[in-house]
Amino acid sequence: MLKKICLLLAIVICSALSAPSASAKSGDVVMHINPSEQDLELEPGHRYESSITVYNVGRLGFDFEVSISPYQTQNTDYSPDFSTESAYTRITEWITLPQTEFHVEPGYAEVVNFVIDVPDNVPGGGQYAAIMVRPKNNSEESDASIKIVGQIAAIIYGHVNGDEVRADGSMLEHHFPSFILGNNFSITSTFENTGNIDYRVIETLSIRNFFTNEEIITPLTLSSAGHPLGTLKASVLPGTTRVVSMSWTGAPQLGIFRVTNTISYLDHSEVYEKVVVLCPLWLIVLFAIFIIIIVIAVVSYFRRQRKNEPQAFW
Amino acid sequence: MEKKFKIALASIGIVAGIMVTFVPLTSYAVEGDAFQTNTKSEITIGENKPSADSTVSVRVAPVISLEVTVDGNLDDDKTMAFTLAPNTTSSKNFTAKVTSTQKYTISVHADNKCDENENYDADAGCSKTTMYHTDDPVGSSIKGIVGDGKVVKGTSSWGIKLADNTDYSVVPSVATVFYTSDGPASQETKFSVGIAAGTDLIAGAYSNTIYVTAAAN
Repeated sequence: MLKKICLLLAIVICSALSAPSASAKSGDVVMHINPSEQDLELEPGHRYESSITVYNVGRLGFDFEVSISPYQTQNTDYSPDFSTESAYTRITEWITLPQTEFHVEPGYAEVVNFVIDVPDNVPGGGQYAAIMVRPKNNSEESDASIKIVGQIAAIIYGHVNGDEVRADGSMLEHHFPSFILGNNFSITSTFENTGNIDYRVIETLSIRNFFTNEEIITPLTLSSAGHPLGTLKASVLPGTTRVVSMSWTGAPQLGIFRVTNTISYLDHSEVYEKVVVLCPLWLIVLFAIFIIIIVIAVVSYFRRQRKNEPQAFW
Repeated sequence: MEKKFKIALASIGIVAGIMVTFVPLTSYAVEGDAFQTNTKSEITIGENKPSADSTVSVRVAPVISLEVTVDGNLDDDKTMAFTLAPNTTSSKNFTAKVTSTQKYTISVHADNKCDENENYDADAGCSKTTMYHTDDPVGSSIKGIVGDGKVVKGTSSWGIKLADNTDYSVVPSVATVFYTSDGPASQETKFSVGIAAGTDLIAGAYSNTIYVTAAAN
């Protein structure tokens, strides 16, 4: 009996010791920001108040801190640049954060307020910044280690009103293929902003089956996750060039479709319509071989005809 | 001769027929996020006018969320702890899970610490960030581990890469894009951090911080 009790006790103790006391799991600290970007219309000499909301959608509460960074982009793929300052990032000096450190419990949200004091006599045009939201790490410094800190940038698109505001730009390129080997269907457009304020590009796409006219994608189509499938909006910042692409990665390997692409930016509106053929490479190869065999057969037939060897071709 | 051609043509016809049969002509894969765009999710439905004076308008604010987890780390302090002997290398992974209603980027940078004589530019900061000895956080007397991306046995270096990539990259001091989504998505992106410890390092602890930034694009 004593042996059994000791054995049972040993099992219980071992089980208790082997259970992790505080294990970090996926979903422990998850930060959610709303909105991830916002447009603010500003007048020189005025004060504005705005905010972002930080939600804790994880299982553990966490502290976080906020700060202001400049926001610009690099290259045509629009890699964000949160460190370079320019005439378009002066808004970082105009923004103040009444509170920079917060705590949020699971299932709750904290509103991060910020104030923008636009100085008098600032030139009109675009001003861009990012509010960086970063969970604070309260742990002690450990040995030989690399700490990983995740942060989210909420982008501010400031539009300062004034006589100098110049919204100008153009579409430099538009690539809309009508024959695609495989199913890598993509429409690419390149936009340039030569003004001093950002503008929005709105693209829509409609895809119909060529034979049945069945609608496959419309501008209002949403995915099961609620994401727009046939509409695209993209900002083009002043002094930059941006490549915008819409791609249908789940397109079938073979088919003929009637595709309509509309593009709107500034005061331009353009509509492109094409019949798009999707065809796999192996079918092209087979077709080419078929044609070659036909040609050889015909040539062979006529050669025999010349040699007066009448023979039915088929 | 003609018989051979006939056989060849018939064979091609049969093969093509079979392959075309197996090509999905009607599955357009519109479910999920198959059609990927860099859409900003401000949807306004303003054309639907049920009566002469009313307009239905719905505005969905663009949102983004981020979760960073260090693989195999049982604590929630997001720390990668390495224990290396001289002349060895080691790597660990972390994962950034981003859910965004817009196209997004994930950028990475480390604390702006480096040898000002070698890897420092007054405007751009450190081109290669350094892990310094905890007894000498500014690297004035003890050589640090330079983030030059050459994680090779026999050297002292550290680097970062997308876990699927082969080669490590320099660990930058300014946010540098490592991943761009095709459109709105909820995806996990796995990164790998590698460290090589050479025989030239003084025993002890070396540290730095990596910042992972998610932003709508």
